[in-house]
Amino acid sequence: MTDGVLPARTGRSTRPLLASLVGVNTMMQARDALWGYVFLLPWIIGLVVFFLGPIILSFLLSFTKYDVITPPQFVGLANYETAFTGDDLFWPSLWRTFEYSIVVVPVGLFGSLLLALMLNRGLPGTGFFRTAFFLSTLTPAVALALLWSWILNPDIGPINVALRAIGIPGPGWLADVHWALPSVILINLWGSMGGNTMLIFLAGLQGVPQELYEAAAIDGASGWARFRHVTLPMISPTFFFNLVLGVIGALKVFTTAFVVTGGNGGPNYALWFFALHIYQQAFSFFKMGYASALAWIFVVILLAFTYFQVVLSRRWVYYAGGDE
Amino acid sequence: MADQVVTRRRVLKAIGLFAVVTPVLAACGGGSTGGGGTAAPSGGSASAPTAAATSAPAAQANPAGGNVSLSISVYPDRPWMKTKAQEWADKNGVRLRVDDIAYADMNTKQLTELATGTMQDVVFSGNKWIRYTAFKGAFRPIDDYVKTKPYDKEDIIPSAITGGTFEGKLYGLPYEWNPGNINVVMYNKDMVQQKGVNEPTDSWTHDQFTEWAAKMTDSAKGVYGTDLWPGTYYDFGDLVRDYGGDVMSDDGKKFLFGTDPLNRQIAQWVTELRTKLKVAPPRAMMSQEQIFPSGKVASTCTNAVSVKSTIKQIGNKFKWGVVLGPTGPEGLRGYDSFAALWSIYIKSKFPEQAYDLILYLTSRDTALYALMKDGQVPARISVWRDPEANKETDIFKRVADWISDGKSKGPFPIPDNLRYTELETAFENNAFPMFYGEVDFATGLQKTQEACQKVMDQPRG
Amino acid sequence: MAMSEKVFAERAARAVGVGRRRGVGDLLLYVPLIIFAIIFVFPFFWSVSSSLKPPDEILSFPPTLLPSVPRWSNYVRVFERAPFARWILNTIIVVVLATLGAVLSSSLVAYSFARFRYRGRDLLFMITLGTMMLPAQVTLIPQYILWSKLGFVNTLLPLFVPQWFGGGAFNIFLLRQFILTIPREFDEAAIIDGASRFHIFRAILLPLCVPALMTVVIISFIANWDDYLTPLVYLNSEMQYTLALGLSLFKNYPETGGEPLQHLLMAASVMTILPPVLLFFIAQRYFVQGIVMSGIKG
Repeated sequence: MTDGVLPARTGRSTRPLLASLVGVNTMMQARDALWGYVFLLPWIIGLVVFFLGPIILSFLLSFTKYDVITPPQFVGLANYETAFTGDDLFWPSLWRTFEYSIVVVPVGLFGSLLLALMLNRGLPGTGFFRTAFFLSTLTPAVALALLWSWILNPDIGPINVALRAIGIPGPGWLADVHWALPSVILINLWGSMGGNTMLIFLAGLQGVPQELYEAAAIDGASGWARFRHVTLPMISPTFFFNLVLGVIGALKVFTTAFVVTGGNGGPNYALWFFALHIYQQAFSFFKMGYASALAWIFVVILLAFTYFQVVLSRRWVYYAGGDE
Repeated sequence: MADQVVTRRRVLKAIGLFAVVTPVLAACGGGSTGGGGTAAPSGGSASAPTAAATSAPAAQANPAGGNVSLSISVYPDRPWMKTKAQEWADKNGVRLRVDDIAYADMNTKQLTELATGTMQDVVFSGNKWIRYTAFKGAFRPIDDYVKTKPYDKEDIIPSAITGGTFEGKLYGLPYEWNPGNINVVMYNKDMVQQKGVNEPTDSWTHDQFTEWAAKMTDSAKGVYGTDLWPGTYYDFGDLVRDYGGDVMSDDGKKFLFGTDPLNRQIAQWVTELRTKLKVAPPRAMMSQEQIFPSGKVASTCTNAVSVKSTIKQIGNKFKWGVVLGPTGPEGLRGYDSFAALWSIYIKSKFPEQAYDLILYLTSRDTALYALMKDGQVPARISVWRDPEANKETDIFKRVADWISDGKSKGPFPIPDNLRYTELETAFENNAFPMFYGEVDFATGLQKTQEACQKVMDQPRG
Repeated sequence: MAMSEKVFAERAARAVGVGRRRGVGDLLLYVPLIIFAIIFVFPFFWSVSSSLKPPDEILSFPPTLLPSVPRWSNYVRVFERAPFARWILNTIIVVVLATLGAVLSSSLVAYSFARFRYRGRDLLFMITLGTMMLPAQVTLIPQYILWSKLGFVNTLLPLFVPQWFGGGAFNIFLLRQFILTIPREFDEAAIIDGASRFHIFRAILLPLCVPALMTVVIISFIANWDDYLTPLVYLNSEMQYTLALGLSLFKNYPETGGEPLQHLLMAASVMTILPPVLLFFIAQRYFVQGIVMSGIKG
């Protein structure tokens, strides 16, 4: 791209070539296009150095045995074979991640939508409530994990104390094999429901033309009917956006589980999510090659999920005006 | 067009600013690590030899001229390390850089330092990891230095030296030693007297221990008799060693947890303490802090070196006593000799001086200082027997006598392929649910055995 | 031009919640609103309260709602037990530089995507969005190898330098959407006056983008303040730690002299939470506007 700058300043003869190179018609536009590239340059570099390069490298590494200290050894498909057939934690960690996502995504989405709907009424004090809801998102993940392990303390945590007061013996929460996953779900829902997802819903709701509601009201539509037939279709693109981001975010769950378990994913692997599996293989056991293979499998899974959502979205997402 | 020139200049200015800012930050980011930020990138060669302590090129040319600089890693909650290392450096006119690394992160961090060539000249390690790291080529063997300047062989606990030995070479000298996490029992004297039960003695057996714990359990008050918990495979191994067996074969290739009848019997006993006898607390209580000092259990199976801090936690809440852990039927009391050691980075420019520093840090004087200052219990039998160490209780002396008789098995069990961390994780996640009775005993035993053996079946490294 | 300005103003007005009619039923809405507010605020209250309790009170049963006597010295003690001041400094360095880099570079890139026409633009934009999907673990290992070969492991560089190269897909996306809502007529008028492309960006678009830029500042600030995985991987020695990492280390500090940690841990957590919360309070008006007006709908 930098090569292209020179002819732009000096060479009259290169005009058509240059213009066609950057995909425009006139010299004027071509120079403009070059500025476009110049402004894009930091990202091009970032994309190559921090994304595309590493992705290719990790793909190559996934066919090797590599411990960072001694040079990588080519092992063919062995890492992938190990993942699917020889790793006792591969399927359970994947399954655990799905279990987590299947609760967190819908509850999180509808919870955020509910909060946004309430805020969208524009009642006095909305600003206060919005801030109160958003506070939880501002909590750094590590602090979130520490704070909640304290609140969920089986013995003197306020939740179990309250439960005991009404005669219910509280569970062991994070210390209990069966309650650990629900606990992390609870923690992460609390930490994300009032956050960006809610704000984006709020944005979507505020973009619904008031006239539509007025028209619906004139037609005698009830509150629910207005929500069902005006609000939902109109915010379906917002919903879709949040859904895609929500699924990706849920599948990537890591920090809370890592901090509350001190990195070991226990009890009984109850919090051994897929992202934690990759991390452990790479940075605790130094199996960089194998971890790269796992990471690639992870990418394929994420891509598949996103692809299916895009395909399915054609059935339920309504774009007003048809274009972007 | 004129405007465009200005614009371009602005762009250049912005780029220039970035170009200036970045190296400044690089310097600032690398400031306290010395080797990191200021080292020249070595063009992406496979092993970047940016040795840690080469701040002055002159020093390399003339090491004898007193212009020596060393770096050392210490852990932040042990101030004696920093103090004593600095003291040695000042005495010998050596420039010293001290890096804090958390003990728990040491294993991982050391390997990343090795990969990036930024390891300190003198580093600490535990015998769980030292062989693995040595296998990766991180450390310089010190046997030659030992020949010319021997360490105190009379006093330093032999099994601690064994802990630093790999394939016949010695890779470090120990500054800490202990006999494992569950081989000393502290008990609540007030509770014992209230119950009218006999106090335990150093010669009690597993059976007497179980019986005692049952008598001390008071389900009405929610008090359990013991908190015995083999939290690692080697803790569990100590129990098996009480009966003359072990948790893995001596060549470190076979895990015996689920295959050996003796292991099975011990595993069943540990499990039944919670599931059948109900003399030990369930998981929810075990995950709480300080259950012994707060009076929720009548006794705690602990590490000898933790006794002092537990005494502080108890304060005036109750009277306490401490005995050695129970033995097997033949009077054996197995342990796992745990040692933490100082080693020398393979690429250190000043290995001889580094060895001198290590000798200083493992000397008797330093050991006594570390004990007084930070409660660090060293790998010297004389300090374990020292009156100063035995002021509040003479348990250290009793431990020293017990391990000195040489009857019980004590080397730290490490898999032959050195994959300690993986084995540990596999054991913890599979055996715990079984011990807590959350999964069926037979299933738990089999799963633990399979998962651990699988780790041990992997190739070395 | 007048038309689009009107739309623009309307959106801005809605963003801050002006011009709604209210029914009586709305009053009932306060019930769930208050319940949710309590759910979201209580844990903060609990951590602040715990952070001010003396050690024996924090473990007492039943727990007290408020400390009998607030013990502010807990906060001082955190600085004595851990190199907390150093961690704060490291975090500030990282967050300020990362945020600066993200704002500068993502706005330039967004400008390029929103206002220029060139070959490959849409493809690159799709790739940009695609990077949001990548799990950090895929790029983490090679990036780690890269930084380690450069000799910058255990420095703060890997934590903020990448932000200077694009500032992340979400920020680019947000700013691009925002710039698209600014009428092109503004640019065109300036071009006729002979202004350069960079001048348009700096003098016309950036000032109009302030709400979106503030959003990027907040998102980037929080993301970097919060980041755990990157420092976990890159930082070795305790003096290089950031707050997020230090906090998790602090959790595992051995109890010296029988001093329990829980109240200190809560004090440290409160101090870690406070700066992003303060920033949000100061900038929230812009922040909400930025998200609302960029019209993110997918």
